[in-house]
Amino acid sequence: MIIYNNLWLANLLIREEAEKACKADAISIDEQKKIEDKYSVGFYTPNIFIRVGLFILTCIIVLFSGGLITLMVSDMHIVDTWGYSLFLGVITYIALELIVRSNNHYKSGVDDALMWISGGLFVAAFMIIQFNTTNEISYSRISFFIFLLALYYALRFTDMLMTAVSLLALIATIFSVWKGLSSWGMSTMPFLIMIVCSGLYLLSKGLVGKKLTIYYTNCLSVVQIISLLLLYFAGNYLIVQSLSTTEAYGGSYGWGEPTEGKVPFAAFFWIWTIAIPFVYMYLGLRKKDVILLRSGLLLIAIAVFTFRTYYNVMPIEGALCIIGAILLGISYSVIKYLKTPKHGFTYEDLNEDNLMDKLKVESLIVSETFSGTQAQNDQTRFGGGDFGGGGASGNF
Amino acid sequence: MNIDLFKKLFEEDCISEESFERIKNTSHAPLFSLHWELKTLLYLGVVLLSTGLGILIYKNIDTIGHQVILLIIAAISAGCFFYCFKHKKPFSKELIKSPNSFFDYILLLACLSFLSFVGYLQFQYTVFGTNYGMATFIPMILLFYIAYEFDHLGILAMGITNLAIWMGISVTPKQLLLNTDFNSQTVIFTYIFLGLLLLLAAYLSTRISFKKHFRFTYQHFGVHLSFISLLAGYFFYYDSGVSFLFMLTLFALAYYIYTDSFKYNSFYFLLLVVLYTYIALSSLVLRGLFSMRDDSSITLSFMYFIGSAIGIIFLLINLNKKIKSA
Repeated sequence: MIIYNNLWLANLLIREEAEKACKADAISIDEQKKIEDKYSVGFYTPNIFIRVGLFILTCIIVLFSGGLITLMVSDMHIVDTWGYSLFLGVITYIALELIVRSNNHYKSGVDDALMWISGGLFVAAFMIIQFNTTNEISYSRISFFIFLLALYYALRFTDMLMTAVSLLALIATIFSVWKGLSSWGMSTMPFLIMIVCSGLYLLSKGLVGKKLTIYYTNCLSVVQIISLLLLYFAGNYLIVQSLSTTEAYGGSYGWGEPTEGKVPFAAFFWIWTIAIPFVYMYLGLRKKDVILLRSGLLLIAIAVFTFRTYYNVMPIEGALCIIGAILLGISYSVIKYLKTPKHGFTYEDLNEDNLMDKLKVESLIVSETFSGTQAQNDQTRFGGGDFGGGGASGNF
Repeated sequence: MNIDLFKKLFEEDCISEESFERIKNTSHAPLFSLHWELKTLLYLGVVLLSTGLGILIYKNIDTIGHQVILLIIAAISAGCFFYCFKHKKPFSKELIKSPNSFFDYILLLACLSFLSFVGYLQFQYTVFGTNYGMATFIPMILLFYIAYEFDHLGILAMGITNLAIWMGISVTPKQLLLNTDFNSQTVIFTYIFLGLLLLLAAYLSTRISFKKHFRFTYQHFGVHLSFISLLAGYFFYYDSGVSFLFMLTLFALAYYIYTDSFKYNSFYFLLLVVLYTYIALSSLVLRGLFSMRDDSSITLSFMYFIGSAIGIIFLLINLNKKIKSA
């Protein structure tokens, strides 16, 4: 099923392990080099900058090639038919297969671009067929098609983003099918989504490290993250309530007035909203699972937000001050406590390149929050300025 | 770590026995790092607390009074600076690691509160009068000083943006900004000047080896600013012959950055130089094509983009190889 050379993929995994061991000072650089020589990988995988460049350029090529073909056939009145989108999609997909097979591109930017463009064209073709055959738009059919397509791409190209898309499309399909099934569809929806998500989480957790899924480790992490988040959102009070009121009031979204409309089992959903993040964090710390821990941290913020939407205990500035002080206190004392590693935990940066470390989330937040002040061109002409990370070094 | 894998590697004589023992030891009791989580919490704490305090002060401005607020902000800033100066390591021309993990955040807080102190002073009492240049000049000097003294890249970036604001104001004062037909010529030239100045700073940082690792930040701002403003200049003077002068400067600069990125093995600047030059070249080619006033010019331009983008892809792949082997 995987398009890539399996031997090379296996060698890539060995190389990654060796690199990790080298970073942790367990093996020397010479040894790492020796391993790399022995386990050769023939993929073309450039660094992130070149990847971005290749992605942009490939998009330009496909865009203008498509434009050129469209220009040529513009007299034949076939441009707005589904067959035309399908035709372009098939051509792009063939180009993708050829590039990956003959030139051994592996996450090089070229394959990413071709993958997304061909996928988009297929979906466009499917949607045009839908519009032509029936008058009403069937969300469930479209999302099911997206699910199948993205699943295919994810399996064939071991792509993480495609995995995410297929999972979200699957949940959307279940949502729309269940909603249309019967009158009690909406009221049982949270529980159905919870069951599905926890099933998916346990499934993906169980599949990690198996021989069959050895090349899909990153994709499985994505499945875990998304299913955990959706599991929480399925029972989040704000979401449950706004969805149920949407149903009751004939489809208009009511984010603004959260207090109207009663939710059955309100107590259960409130407990779920508040407790689940802590459960995640607790399990994450106990099992030393980064994904659980970080999901829990993120969800605490969302739980606080949900709570504040309904109950205004104190003005926002007081809450900000208190939470800020508490966070500072907690992190300060934990750092002090972990000065020498205890119970297998440490504050030291072990340099393990985890999935989220690669995203450099912190620096993103920093630049996001501080660049906001620059835009406000107030009378005093003061801008906080664009700011690129708390003492982050940049050696590219 | 995967023990079986390393066992196999050990049997294949890829790693020494010593290394294998070490791996076995570490995998028995793997340490779990909370570094990222704690840092994020710390950062969030700083942001939330400062925002909360800001709103609190703003809302109670009538009861507290301006002097008290100024005093509080000054006290925070001074306290943080005091801490930083007390704990700082001696100045060096090379990279200095921050003494502890809080240091960077406290320095950040000090600088941010200093900025709001000066801003407040100007807003409430107009200390600098209408001399806006002065109001930005002083924080800028301080930011650059702090960045060099404490070796903080983030504050250096803040200093550079402040420099841009200062220059922008000095060149186009408020009166000009208020009029709708303000001279964008001056803005373009100021930004070209600023971009080249930053590139010079990047060059000098390594040349006289004074904080060599600051080069990247200077270069980053310099490259973007000068390329964008040169392109803007080209389009501004599109109808006159001067526009080609901008293009010539752009290509000369591109050549310089190109050789420079090879010198420092920088993929990032290589990519930037290729993309910006591609934009410049394409605009020249399109200009040529559309000046033919022919029906085929659209088709030709489409073909140009397809062909040139393929060419650039091969160029990038080759340059990437070249830089790797260099």
